[in-house]
Amino acid sequence: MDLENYTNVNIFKKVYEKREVSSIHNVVEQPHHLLKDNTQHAKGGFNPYVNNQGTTVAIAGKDFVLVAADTRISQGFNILSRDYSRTTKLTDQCVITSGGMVADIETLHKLLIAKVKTYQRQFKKTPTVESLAQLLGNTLYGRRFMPYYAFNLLCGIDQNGQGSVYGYDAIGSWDKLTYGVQGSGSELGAPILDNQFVGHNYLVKTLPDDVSVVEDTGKDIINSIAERDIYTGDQVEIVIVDKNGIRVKREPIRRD
Amino acid sequence: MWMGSKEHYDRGVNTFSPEGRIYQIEYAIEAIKFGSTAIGIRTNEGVVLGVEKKLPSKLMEPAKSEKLVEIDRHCGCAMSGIVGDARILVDHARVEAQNHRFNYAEAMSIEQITEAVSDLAINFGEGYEGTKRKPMARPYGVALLIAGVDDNGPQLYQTDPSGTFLQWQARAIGSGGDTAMTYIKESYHSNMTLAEAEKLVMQTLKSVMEEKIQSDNVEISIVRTDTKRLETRTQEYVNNIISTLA
Amino acid sequence: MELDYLKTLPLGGFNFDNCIRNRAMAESGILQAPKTMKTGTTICGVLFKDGVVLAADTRATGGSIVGDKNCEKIHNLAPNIFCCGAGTAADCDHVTEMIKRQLELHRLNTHSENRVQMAALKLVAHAFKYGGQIGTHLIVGGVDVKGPQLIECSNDGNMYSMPYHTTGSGSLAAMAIMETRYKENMTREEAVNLCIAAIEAGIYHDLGSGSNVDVCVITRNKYEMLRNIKHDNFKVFSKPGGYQFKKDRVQVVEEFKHKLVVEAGEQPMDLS
Repeated sequence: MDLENYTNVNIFKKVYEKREVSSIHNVVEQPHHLLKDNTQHAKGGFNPYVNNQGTTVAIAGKDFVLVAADTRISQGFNILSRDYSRTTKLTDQCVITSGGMVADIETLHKLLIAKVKTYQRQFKKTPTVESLAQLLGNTLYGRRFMPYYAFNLLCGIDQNGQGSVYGYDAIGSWDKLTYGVQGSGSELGAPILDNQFVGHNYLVKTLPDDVSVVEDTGKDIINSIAERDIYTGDQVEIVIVDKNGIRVKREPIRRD
Repeated sequence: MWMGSKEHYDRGVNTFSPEGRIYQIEYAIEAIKFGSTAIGIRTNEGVVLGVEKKLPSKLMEPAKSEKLVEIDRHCGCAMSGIVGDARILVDHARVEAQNHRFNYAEAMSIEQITEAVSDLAINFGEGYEGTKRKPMARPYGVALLIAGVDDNGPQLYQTDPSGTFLQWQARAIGSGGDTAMTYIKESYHSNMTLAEAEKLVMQTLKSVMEEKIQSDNVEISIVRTDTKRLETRTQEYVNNIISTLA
Repeated sequence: MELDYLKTLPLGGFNFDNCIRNRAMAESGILQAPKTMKTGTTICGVLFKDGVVLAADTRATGGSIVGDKNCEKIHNLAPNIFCCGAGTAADCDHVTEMIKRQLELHRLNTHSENRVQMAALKLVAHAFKYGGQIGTHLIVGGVDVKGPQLIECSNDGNMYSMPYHTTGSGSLAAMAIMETRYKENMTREEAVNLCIAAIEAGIYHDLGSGSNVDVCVITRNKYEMLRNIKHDNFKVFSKPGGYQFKKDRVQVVEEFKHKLVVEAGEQPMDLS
């Protein structure tokens, strides 16, 4: 449209002829109006995806890696679960944590567990985190045109004993990170992680060595996100991976 | 009764004889004994592979690396028997090794490479219904020495047409195989250096070869434990060893 | 004739010129009509023996982000009339404020107490005039000459009068409580507790609602605003010792200091 030669009347004429009466929508905001993303047939037909939201944070340390995630699952404005674990153990030295659609996350995690078992049987050893990182990337890209609606962080101890985090998008683009955040609160969590942990702009590139400080930070980040993101809340699940194996603990956070 | 008559059980490659033998596999193993000699020795410093290259005519160009080939950066293979059959197995092993790197971002273990080769080696006969690729109609008439370095250190494996694979500290196959094994058994010890092993390979080859040993009718490769890389020795290097042989 | 185009204009009645223009502009992709902010909310009102109880949560959202953790959704319309607002925050604020002024003028002109029905009618008339475009979903409650009154006013111009109401994204959760626990002629305490339970259902089961519970109790000649009568939702954990922002970890490109100089003859600004 040419705004310079714009006159109200010209536009009026043009549109008046093909004017149609649009139906009046009842816009009272009630939950069932917000469920349309999955149940209604969109322009291109059935939409199989739904975002169940939730936030997960992973931070690599010198000899450990820590995951802090909330346990809320929601659809629209409804809470489906208050105690869902979005973090799955793959090996004694590796976990995966994801945001996105629960059905896809569970399927992907199960598939990876199966792939790890197959690997162990076939090669008579446990896959390294690096191997699993590549495997996950290929698995996701294998579904390039009907992806798993899952945004993953693969966390583990590498062969040198260092903590490592691998971040992915839904179709398998991935990179090695020192920390990562996925899910509905990722925009809120990323800045504080950038500030507190080793980023590209840092001169001193040493990973944090005190697990309790990192744990407090991770816990605080999820608590802070729960303050402002409506999809994050209920509980924070802390998963710590180090040379002794995997520890999991949960603490309540705000439930509203 | 015609039971026990060998010929009747030679028709199908997958038919057992009443004594519980599959003659075609045994014949295939026999075929290896006509092959040129190939030797492998494992030491703590690395693995050595050596082969004899037969030159039936003076007019023939000495081919480079025909019987001593690379499977992956960390793994080499020496062969004895029908070289054409070996190429199919080696191609398969190379694909498997690259697939492993693609899937898992790591080198495939030598045992796994050997297993992959053996899986293909026993997959002969009529094949299954619905299988796209038609398998070999007969057993592969070749034995391979697969050597390399992985997470478990230097490794040496041998495959045969039956799909069996065994791990060895030192192994010789081919026409001079039995003689060579006796020879190596006398000199081999587990604390050998790589240089000593190279010399032992050459010395053994010299003793079993019908022709005079020369830099153009033998070839050796090594995989070092520290670098985990396959290296092919140059003709000068081989010449230097030959000059020191007894 | 030059003025022929005038004949195409509709004569009298409503004029929807701007709607058509707005749609044309939106379709052309040059300008998008501004989107209104919808506040997920739970509000409710209940009649009891001596008056009315109104209650609301205190979360204001913009999309999925909480904009205000402790906002006020119970508005005052007159000394004897209050109103809970759900929908678009700005609409609720401004419409109630506008009606409040009109009611005050009416009081001054007539020397009499406002009736709840009048307030509701004014709200509804205003909402209807805008064809549902004004996002006000209100529950008006008060006590007037006809006794305790409770009226719901929708954005489309409807009024409903029932002994208990819930609205907002948490209305289903709240209504579930109302339907199971409401009874006639409740005491004040019963009514307040019912409202708190209904709002809490919204707070905990609806993501659009959250934080605290505000309650307003209106009886004859008296009202009581019980702000944050429930305040159970707060940040549970903060990192002990707070955060350090280490300067030496990032590269300092340039460092400079400026001194503020007061030149002779100039007087420093009086900051007292």
